[in-house]
Amino acid sequence: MDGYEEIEKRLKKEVEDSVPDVLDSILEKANRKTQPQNDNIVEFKKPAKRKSAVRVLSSVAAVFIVILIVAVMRQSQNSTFDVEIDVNPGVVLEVNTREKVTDVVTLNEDGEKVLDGMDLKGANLDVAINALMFSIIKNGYINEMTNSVLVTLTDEGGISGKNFVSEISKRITDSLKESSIEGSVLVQSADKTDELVSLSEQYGITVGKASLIKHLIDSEKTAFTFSQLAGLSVNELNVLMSEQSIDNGVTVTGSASRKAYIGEAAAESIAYAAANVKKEQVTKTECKLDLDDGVLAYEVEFEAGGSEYECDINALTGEVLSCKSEKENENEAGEPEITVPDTIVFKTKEEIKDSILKKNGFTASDCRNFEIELDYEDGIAKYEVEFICGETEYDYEVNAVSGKILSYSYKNIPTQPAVAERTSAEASSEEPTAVTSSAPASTIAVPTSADETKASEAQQTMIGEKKAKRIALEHAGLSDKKVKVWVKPEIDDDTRQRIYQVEIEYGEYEYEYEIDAYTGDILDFEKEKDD
Amino acid sequence: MTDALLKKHIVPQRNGSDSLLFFSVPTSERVPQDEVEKLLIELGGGNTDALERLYIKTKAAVYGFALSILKNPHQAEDVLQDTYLKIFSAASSYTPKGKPMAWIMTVTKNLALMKIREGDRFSDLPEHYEPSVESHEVHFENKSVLNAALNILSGEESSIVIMHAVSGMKHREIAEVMNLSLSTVLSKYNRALKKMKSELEGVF
Repeated sequence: MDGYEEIEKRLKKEVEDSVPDVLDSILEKANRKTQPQNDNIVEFKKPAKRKSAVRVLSSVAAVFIVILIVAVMRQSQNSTFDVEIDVNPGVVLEVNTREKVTDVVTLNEDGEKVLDGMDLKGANLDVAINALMFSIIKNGYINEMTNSVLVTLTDEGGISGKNFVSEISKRITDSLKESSIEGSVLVQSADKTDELVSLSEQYGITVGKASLIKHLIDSEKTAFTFSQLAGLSVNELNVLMSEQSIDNGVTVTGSASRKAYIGEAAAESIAYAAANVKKEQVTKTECKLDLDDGVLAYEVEFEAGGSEYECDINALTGEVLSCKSEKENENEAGEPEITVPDTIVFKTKEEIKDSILKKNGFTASDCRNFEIELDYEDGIAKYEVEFICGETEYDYEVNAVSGKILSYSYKNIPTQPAVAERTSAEASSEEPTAVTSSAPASTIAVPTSADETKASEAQQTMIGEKKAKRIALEHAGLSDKKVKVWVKPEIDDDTRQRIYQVEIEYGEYEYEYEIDAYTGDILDFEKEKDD
Repeated sequence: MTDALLKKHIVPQRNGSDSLLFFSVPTSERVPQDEVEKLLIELGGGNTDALERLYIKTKAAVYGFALSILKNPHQAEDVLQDTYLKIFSAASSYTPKGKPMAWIMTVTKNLALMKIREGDRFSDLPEHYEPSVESHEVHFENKSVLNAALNILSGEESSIVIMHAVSGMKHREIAEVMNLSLSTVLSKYNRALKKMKSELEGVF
């Protein structure tokens, strides 16, 4: 029996061998996703505007592939209905009063694809809609993840028109049900105003969707902008509407699919972890889907240990987008603040930036490419700060609460012309970095002992090789009598974190440790049998 | 590793001096994170070809992790698919911070947890991992390491061990994905491999 290494190797091989091959299916589905946007829109229009509507819609279609069902309804002299079902895939159905399809016209290639050679002439309208919906579902325009269909009645369709809309809406719901998809059908009426038409042209969306979005932004409850919402699918708009309980005269049957999202429970536990709060400590939680920088996110608000937290969690991926906390009852009447251990007040990004710049003797104008991100590691909230001053890139980790610098590194990033202009003498010797130290150019930050002292006004003390060795031996359960140990300071490839690499040889076994050079934490270890 | 080899890439210890040259030595057999990150960025920028390359590089890590959570190859297969579709649709929201594997694993984890929630509603989860029928890989001792990892280890333990073995992610990164502290991950990892070792005694 070999050491851990052998077990891991075998495990790796077995997992690799057992991975099912799903690449083709992934690529096919991904491909389909790039085709339609899964916007399912039903619009009703009076035949008088039919031609222009078709023109507008087909020009929209050329840019955005949107499913669009347009039904044009007419009560003509010989009392027949003209129903255009334009799925971009566009298909037109002409229907008489007895709801029989009298003619079928496809408007484009996608329409042909959806119609798929079916002869719907003479069929009942519900049969025709069924068939078309089936084909739409089969072609992936509607699925479990995206189940919302928008039905819009533009212009005044009159009472009969309204009934007609709800009838079509019911049929769509039913045919979705037959495919085991719980559909959500939104029914609205909208005046085709110049404003809506110009918005629809500007954003490349249908008049119906423009009208829906306009309702959403007009609602007092939200602070959305049109351009933020124009990029969302009907399903996402439907989700937002119900989350924000916006009543905008749209009749919604069924509910928008949230299967693409991680769910509130998952969002909440991610938020607690991000704020480093235990679930038991949480006294009050509120979680809802909202729009954060154009991305659908769970906004989790909760109270724990006398602080209020607000975290935004990407609804699709579970990524923590932001997390902030605020103390309750802030500073009453100059009372000295009592620091409760559970209370976390993070320094602001600006404070962190200023203090680091000040430490280095820079001003903000000397530097560029600031990236400051809040991160959590091992239960500690920290800011990861990156920026470039002159030709040096700095990388800091700062405790988000105390502002203490946890680690830092910097590297030289010589600009192209600078390299070319260097004299051979300079190039052959060590090149000066922006921080008065010398380090081999083009390698990772390599402070010498001299500038280590100089730069460590940040009270950085590395634990030392002896301690690193002791930590590793202790963890391995070995005494240093029977072992050979090598210790070497290093910088981690991925994180640029300063570490000690400790290798221990004990009999036929070899241990390899990576130990954080400042905290003494074991970051990684491996044990293997010497070959 | 022999002494000579070791000496080649290890700086001899100097007496008591703490600040030395920092070397960068390539780590062994890891899923190359910078490549993965590049692929994610390309994918986010609309280059769909990157999806295939990303899949090839990371599928074992994704599948292994999903399997460790679900302990059911069929569900893990679903999650494998869903993960790449999710990555495909969410790649544009990925912000490069040098942790692409952690990001991918977080997506995998969330999808697997969703799968469990679905499963709670409809059926019970199998308690033990059953190798799929199509699997022709029968190991000589009929004791596969994967089976052992899935059956004798706790959920978290098997996730940690499989992630470490297959993706080559560091314990620190694994801790991040699993919302555990580093020390918890390390002790679980240790305990798990000890269990595995005694379970598999005599297999190799």
